[in-house]
Amino acid sequence: MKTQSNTDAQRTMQDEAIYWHVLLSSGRATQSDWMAFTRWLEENPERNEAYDFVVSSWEAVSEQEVFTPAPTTNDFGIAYFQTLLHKFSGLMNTRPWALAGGFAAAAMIMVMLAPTIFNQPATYTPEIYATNVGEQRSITLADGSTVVLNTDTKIAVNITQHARSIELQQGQAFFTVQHENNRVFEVMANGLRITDIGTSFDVKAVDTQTQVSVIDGIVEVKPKAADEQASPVRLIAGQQAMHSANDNIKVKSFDLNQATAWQRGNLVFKDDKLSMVVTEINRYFKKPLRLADDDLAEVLFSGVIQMSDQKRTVHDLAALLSLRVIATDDEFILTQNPIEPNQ
Amino acid sequence: MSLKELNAIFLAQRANLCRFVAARLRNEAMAEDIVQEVWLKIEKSTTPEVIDNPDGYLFTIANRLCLDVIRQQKRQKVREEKWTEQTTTKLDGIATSQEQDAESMLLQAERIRKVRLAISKLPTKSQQAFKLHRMQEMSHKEVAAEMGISVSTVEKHIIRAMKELVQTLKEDQ
Repeated sequence: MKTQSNTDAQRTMQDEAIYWHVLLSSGRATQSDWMAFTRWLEENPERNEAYDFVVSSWEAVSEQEVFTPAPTTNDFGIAYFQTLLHKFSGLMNTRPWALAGGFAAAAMIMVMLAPTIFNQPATYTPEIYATNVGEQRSITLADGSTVVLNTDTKIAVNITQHARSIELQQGQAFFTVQHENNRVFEVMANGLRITDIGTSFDVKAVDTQTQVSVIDGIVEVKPKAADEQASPVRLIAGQQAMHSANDNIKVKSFDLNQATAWQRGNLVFKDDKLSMVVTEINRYFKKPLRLADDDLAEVLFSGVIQMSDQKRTVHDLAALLSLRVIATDDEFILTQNPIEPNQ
Repeated sequence: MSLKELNAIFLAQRANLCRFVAARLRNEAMAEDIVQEVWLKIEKSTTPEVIDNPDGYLFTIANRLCLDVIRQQKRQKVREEKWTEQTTTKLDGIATSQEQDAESMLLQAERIRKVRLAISKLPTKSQQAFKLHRMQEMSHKEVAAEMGISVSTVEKHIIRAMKELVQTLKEDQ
């Protein structure tokens, strides 16, 4: 028979389950605590369900709404802003607003100061991963997300209990993110802040140019300098955002195959200026390639270039464009001249 | 701590972990596999250097994996029941599931209202401790520092809030 109200015995079991949940999630539960919990479970199969119910209840209140009734006190206002700040900051390790006291005005100031505070270097040391020119490398982060680093790339990784933040200091990286509700995944590149909503995406930072290409899912991008209230630009799969210093974010669609080709050792170009093609190829090799004259810079090129070995890469490109290659000790030169001057 | 040291602790705790998983899942046959998965998970994604309570850490991971299994089993059961219901009564699948969605959203809103009310009735300190712990994911220790009270007092506050919460949701079932 099942009744609406709990019996005393059920209530006791429920309270015990709560006690176990609080102890076991405190971070200080020892092996003997866990074994005591095991014995408690073994004694009565119904206890498993009581414990499941407590854990589900705990998880059910993750919604913001539960804690945001009509604000009646200033104290509440602070708590709400703290939560918001915490959500947005991602990077915060310290909690300076704890000093703000009970004034809503102070909370507002914190909101306004937030961008400056968040840009301060954190107190912990990030992990650095880097690749040399011509090298590619795949790494798995502590949260299970993966990053593939392209040539000449450097990232700083900060994964804490509360936040996952990566700074792309130079180069290009492809991210496949393990989605978590409680920890946003954030990538900083040049002046751009990229926030993931569960996805895989590619970020390229060359000079002051930043390019974000979404392969799967959704990401949000926002200039780092923008204030906290400004709404981010939302990108869906197949969209690419371009951003350079002091510039608006431009969004266009892109060829998925093209943006991820580097991971297969290819570069794909479609009506791209030869000057840009050369710059792109030069990211992968130490010995520079240059164009013999400026007229060539404007030539448009479409095609797939394999990045295995520089000599072959350069000759492939030359062949596709009916150009010639001059190789010296220090550089490769692409030229239109069909014949050497002295021949 | 190195991964190797953590592995030594894992091996030492292996039998205990198996007993725990068997009790949690009520299934001894699955225990070995789940415990093996605990190690695979650690190997893949742990930074052993930051672990200060390795025993607790191992059990916590095992507990989480058990929870995943339990959830999966429940979902499976619900799916099977739904399927039986739909095929035997020949309901219009799409329309019905949409109606159910709207209904469950209403229920959800009502539940949130009740939980809010229950929490708002708690003493201010309990509310504050619970909020900091749950919403800002502060550890008991961090909440204690933030509020200027002892860890055991924090835990009393959290237990109190949890009792209200669980009871409210139970009555709502």
